[in-house]
Amino acid sequence: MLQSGLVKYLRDGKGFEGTLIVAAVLYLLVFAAFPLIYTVVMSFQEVDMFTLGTLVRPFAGLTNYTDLFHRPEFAPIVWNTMIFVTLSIAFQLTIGFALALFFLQDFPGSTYVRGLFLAGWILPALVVGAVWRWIFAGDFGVLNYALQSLGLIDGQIYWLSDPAYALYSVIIANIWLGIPFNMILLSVGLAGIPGDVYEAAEMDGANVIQRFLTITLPMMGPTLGAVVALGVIFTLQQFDLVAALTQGGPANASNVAQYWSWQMSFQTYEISGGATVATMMIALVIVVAVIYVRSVQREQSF
Amino acid sequence: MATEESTFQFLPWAQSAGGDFNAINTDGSVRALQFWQKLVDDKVATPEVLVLNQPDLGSQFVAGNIGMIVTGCWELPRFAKEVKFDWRVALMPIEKAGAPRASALGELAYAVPRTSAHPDEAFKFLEYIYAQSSRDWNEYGWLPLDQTATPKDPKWPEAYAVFAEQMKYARGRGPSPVWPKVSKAIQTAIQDTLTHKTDAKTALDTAQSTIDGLIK
Repeated sequence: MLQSGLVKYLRDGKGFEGTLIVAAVLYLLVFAAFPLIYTVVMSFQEVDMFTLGTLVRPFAGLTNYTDLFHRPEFAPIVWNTMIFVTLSIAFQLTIGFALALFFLQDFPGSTYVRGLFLAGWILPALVVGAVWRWIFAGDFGVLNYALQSLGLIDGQIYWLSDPAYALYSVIIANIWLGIPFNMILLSVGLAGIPGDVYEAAEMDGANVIQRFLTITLPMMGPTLGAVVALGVIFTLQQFDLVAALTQGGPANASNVAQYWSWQMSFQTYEISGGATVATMMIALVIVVAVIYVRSVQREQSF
Repeated sequence: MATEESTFQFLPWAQSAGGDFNAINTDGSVRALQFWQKLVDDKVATPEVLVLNQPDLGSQFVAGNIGMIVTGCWELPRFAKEVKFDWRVALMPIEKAGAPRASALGELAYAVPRTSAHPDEAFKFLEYIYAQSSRDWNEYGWLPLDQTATPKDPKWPEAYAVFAEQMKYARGRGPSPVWPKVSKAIQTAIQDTLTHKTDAKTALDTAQSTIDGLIK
């Protein structure tokens, strides 16, 4: 009797809602909050291989941070990260937006082709990286072969091993990887703009460019904000492509913060250094996440 | 590429010219790194060495794109099966007649944690591993460090003779509890030099001061 009462309570009553909430909160606590706080804590501690197993370690104050700022690779890597994020998002967004507008046109097969674009996005970034590594290969790569056949370049361009190109090669691959995601999100936003607004504008004699600037862009504002915010978060997470393409080399030319953090934590075992980089990235991502949440709220208020 | 592999590859060149991991800015080490730089500058070695790892470069050799490769005997099983042209194994070159030979060793350090509840079992396990040394060459293409553990009937006898000879000059890296950081300093020097960020001397001086700070 008691047992069936409990089951009934959990299945139908308030208990059901409570269970769902507890499960979700428990999941967040274990898999999001704990690692996050743990990382922040480690950035203020002295951590090495021998103190990994314990939680109580010597307090380091801000030395991990000052040590990090004084490293010769700090400034170049911050700069690389800024270039990486800015260029990736600028091109992912404009190309994705252009494609979304293109596939909004009613032509045979448009929905199928748009769906096919997602194929690139569902590939694991490591696989994408391996493919781009063959494309970019200096001596026997497809890209150099194509450019040479077209007569655009004379010698080889060492896309991945020339410090002048390495970062931009990773960015190109990342742009390719991010375009489908941007396109799909923006397509959804475009589909939400009521058609009669365009009809009315057309009757009033607004041309295509006027309609884009005065209707599409303002009405897409919240969506664009959300896509940019998600883009910053995803780009700052983009670890696999760097690992597959250049591993941050040559001579840190294509190293970015997220990869540097991993290198310190798992290659040279400067775990507190890695945690410090990660903590600073968390702070940045929180700012971006706030923008994202506010953007989504504005979107819903439409 | 900038991993332990590049330190592993470079140390024998430095050692043969009179340097070592704790004396990485000696004249000999600088000459060794300058030689590497020249190989890349003259396009004798592809600049891709900056980002490719050992197995990747091994594949380029298998494909016939590279004519000569400095690598270890662990590649022998694959090369013996896949390389379609006539190829041989030779001793590592030395700077000039009479210079000491050198070669690198790896995976020799085992650690039993102080807090381990089963240290005796750990040592038994290590003894078991070393008792199996004579299987290394024929089954895995590894050369046992234990000179008494020679395989009975070595595969690829010509290559075996060369590697067995080279083994006499092999040295372990370090050992040092801060090895990953020591190695990173050497990797940075190699990458900075091959990309002409700095010259070999400056790069190795920087590495030396980093390493001095680490091992005191």
